[in-house]
Amino acid sequence: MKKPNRAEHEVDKTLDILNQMDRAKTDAFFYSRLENRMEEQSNESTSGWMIILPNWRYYALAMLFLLIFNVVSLFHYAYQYNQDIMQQETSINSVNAFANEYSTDLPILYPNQLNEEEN
Amino acid sequence: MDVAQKQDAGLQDSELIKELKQRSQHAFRVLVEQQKDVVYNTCLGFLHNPQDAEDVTQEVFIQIFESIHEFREDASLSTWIYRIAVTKSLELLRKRKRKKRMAYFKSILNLDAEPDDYEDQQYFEPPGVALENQERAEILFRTIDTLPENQRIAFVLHKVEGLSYKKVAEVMETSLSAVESLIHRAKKNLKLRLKTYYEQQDL
Repeated sequence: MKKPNRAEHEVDKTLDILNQMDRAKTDAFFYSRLENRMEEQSNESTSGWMIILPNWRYYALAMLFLLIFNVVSLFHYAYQYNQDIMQQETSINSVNAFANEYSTDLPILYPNQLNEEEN
Repeated sequence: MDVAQKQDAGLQDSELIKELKQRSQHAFRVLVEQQKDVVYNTCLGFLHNPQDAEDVTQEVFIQIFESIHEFREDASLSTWIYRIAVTKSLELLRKRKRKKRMAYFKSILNLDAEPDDYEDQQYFEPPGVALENQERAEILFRTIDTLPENQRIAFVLHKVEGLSYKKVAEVMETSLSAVESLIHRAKKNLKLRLKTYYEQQDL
């Protein structure tokens, strides 16, 4: 019988703590600390964007480089194409000249047939 | 904070809300000065740690400032603030519990578990409680922490924060009879658990 009474007494004393408690209070500088934290958070969110921004610059630079590379390639290809055509024309001319010089043209054996095809 | 103090501060609830929605720094400061101790005391009632309570109190005000435009005014401003304070405090406790669980699993798997700072923190000394009763206060709050969540919320808001049953019902968005029942069960469970604890101490 003694033990439960003691335990109950302890329980009552422990629960009585709730009646003894005062309200907890913050200090006078709470608002300053809150203001600092809000400022820090806003700076962090700004610097967060600043981390992304240089990346955008890199992306833009890469895009510009690709564009320049493509334009240069296009001009280079066009130049090469013209050169090839000119070279082709030169080689045809030289073949023709060679053929003329050595009279390697095929003799026209059937001029009448040729005239008929032309008509 | 009573009405007279609010009038001293120069702003009524409706004016305060209106100005807060216009992101007035002055209105925000008035609100913080009016409600900081209320929020801090509520958070401390759940967290039992002054640093955590201060951190969560700051988070509560930051959320108020950022989401005041979402406040529909179907409850009073103070009720809304209490809800945010309770939610934020419980969120931190859940986060701590998850971290503790993870550390436990990591220790089982022999992985490097981060030491839990929370475990190392000393239990808070409730203001107004005599030094010889501090240990008793710790036992009380540790036992309150073992109560089911709804009973704990109702009990802390009523007994620690000193809210009426009606206000607790508003904060918890439940009926008055439900709050009465929750607090009754909380007291009963608390007595039973404390009795078991003291009986075990005697053995």
